[in-house]
Amino acid sequence: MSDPSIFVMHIAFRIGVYGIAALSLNIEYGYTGLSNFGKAAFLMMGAYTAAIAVENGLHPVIAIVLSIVVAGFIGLSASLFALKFREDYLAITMLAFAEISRLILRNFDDSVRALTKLITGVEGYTNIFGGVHGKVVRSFVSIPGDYRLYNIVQLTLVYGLLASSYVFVRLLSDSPYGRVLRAIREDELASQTLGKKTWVYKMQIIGLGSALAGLAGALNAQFEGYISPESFQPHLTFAIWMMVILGGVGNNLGVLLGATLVESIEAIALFVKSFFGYLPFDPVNIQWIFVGASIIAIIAFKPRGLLEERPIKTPAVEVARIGYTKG
Amino acid sequence: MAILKVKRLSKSFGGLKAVDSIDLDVEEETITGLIGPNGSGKTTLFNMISGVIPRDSGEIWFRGERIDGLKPFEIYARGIVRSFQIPRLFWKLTVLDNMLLAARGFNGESLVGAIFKRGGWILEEKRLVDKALDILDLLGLSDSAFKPTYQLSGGQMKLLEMGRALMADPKLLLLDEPTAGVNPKLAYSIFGKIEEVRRAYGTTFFVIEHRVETLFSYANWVYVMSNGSLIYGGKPSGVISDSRVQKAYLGDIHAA
Repeated sequence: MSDPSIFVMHIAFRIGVYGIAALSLNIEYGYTGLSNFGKAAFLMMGAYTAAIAVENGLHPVIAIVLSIVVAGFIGLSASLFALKFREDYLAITMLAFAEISRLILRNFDDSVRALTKLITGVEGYTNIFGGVHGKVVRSFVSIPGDYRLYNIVQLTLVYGLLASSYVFVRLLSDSPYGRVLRAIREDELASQTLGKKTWVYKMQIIGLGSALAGLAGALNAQFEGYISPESFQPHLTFAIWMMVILGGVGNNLGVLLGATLVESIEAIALFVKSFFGYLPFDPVNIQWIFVGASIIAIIAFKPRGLLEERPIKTPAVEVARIGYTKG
Repeated sequence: MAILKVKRLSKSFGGLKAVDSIDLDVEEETITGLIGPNGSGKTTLFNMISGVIPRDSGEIWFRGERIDGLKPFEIYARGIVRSFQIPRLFWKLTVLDNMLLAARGFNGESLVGAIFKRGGWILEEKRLVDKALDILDLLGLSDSAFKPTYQLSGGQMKLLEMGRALMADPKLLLLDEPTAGVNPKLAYSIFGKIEEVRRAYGTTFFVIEHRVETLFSYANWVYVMSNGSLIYGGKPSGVISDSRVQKAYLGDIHAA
């Protein structure tokens, strides 16, 4: 990379994408207390949906909408069985769900080919997901020749969608709906005795969270230009969790800060690796030591994250609060 | 008229009969007490009425409608709201938020309503905030309205649980030890508030209580449970002289 601005833009893009993913985990875990450890699967579904959509000549806008809808719908279906479990079991179930989905994607084409041969005797040909070889993804943006302009358009796209996601999540969390989400997190049984159909809320949140994750997955896939099942292993989920825990569970700006931190640490590691040539260690491995150490430091000194959760702000409550502090 | 009728209601946990074929009525607009030694099945009875645990057999009727087998939110919808022995508040939320959460049929609490019908719920919430602040005022909690709930004292937590229940305009309020862990003077004032609310809103109270002397100065009717069975139902004045109640609380004095 001769132009350092391309490197910076790349990092900025990733911060935008993982900001959306971190917001999606924040509405699930931060507000509703749902430990979704299957986050990577929903990024994967968004990514593959977008890849297949543009491959078949669909407009990028339709590809984005499709990845949101598909990931959201699968999230909603997964929640049908996953939400029957208690918190810790939910985490394990979603983790297993993500791994199963990833392995199905990886082996789907081979299995279909083998089955076709077994039944019809003819060597079939399917190549929907690309198996272990992965899939080349055409970019949503096409500006031949001008790489800087291309990156600026990509950044505008991702930050526009990040801003919309942020506004959406804020409207949701600073509303009576968001208040019910937090009540479910604090005490689900008590919420039920106050008439809340808690599972409806939990399903909606897993659905919305998965849809947002699908959006993040789609954006990332078309920017990177290549996806494979190996890019969606559990450590992707853990990275998103780290962003949320570092930045501040239940604080939307906090989780964006968390995404920025985790991605910046990764950027520094890559920078050190590519600019210093031979080193006796691999900086990419060192980055996880940095991230791990900061998690320990945060949990020891600021257990609620860098930015703490604030009280719910709705217009009527704010008016009453101002009246109260004046009186 | 009886607002709540319990007929031959039973619940076992393994081999233990926690509630053993109980029949009782709670009359409308009364304060009805439920006392009994620890482990006699009082809270289990409340858990079944509020739908928190399923019954084994028997029937529960509320205002002429059978409610056993309904889910907690369906029972809430019919007008029964409960408090818990150990307060189950939403600890990280403010006192006012706890109150608002109990409001009935609030449109802002639906996903579509919250985002797309903001104008609607903002006005609705203004009215609910006023109502909540009035109730907090009645309970002497208005100074704490914007505090996180975990900062309240034990007695205030009890009061807030009652206030939260009142926010839902209940027809029947099940209170599980509203004065546990509260000093005797505050205990009297909590019951004073209960009586005030009963007069103001016509709410029926069914109250588990260990502070017998406080309860008896306010209750119209008292039931006594022991080992899962009902051993007394009548005026508070008759409880002390009832031989079965004496035996349940003090043991068999003649056996010694």
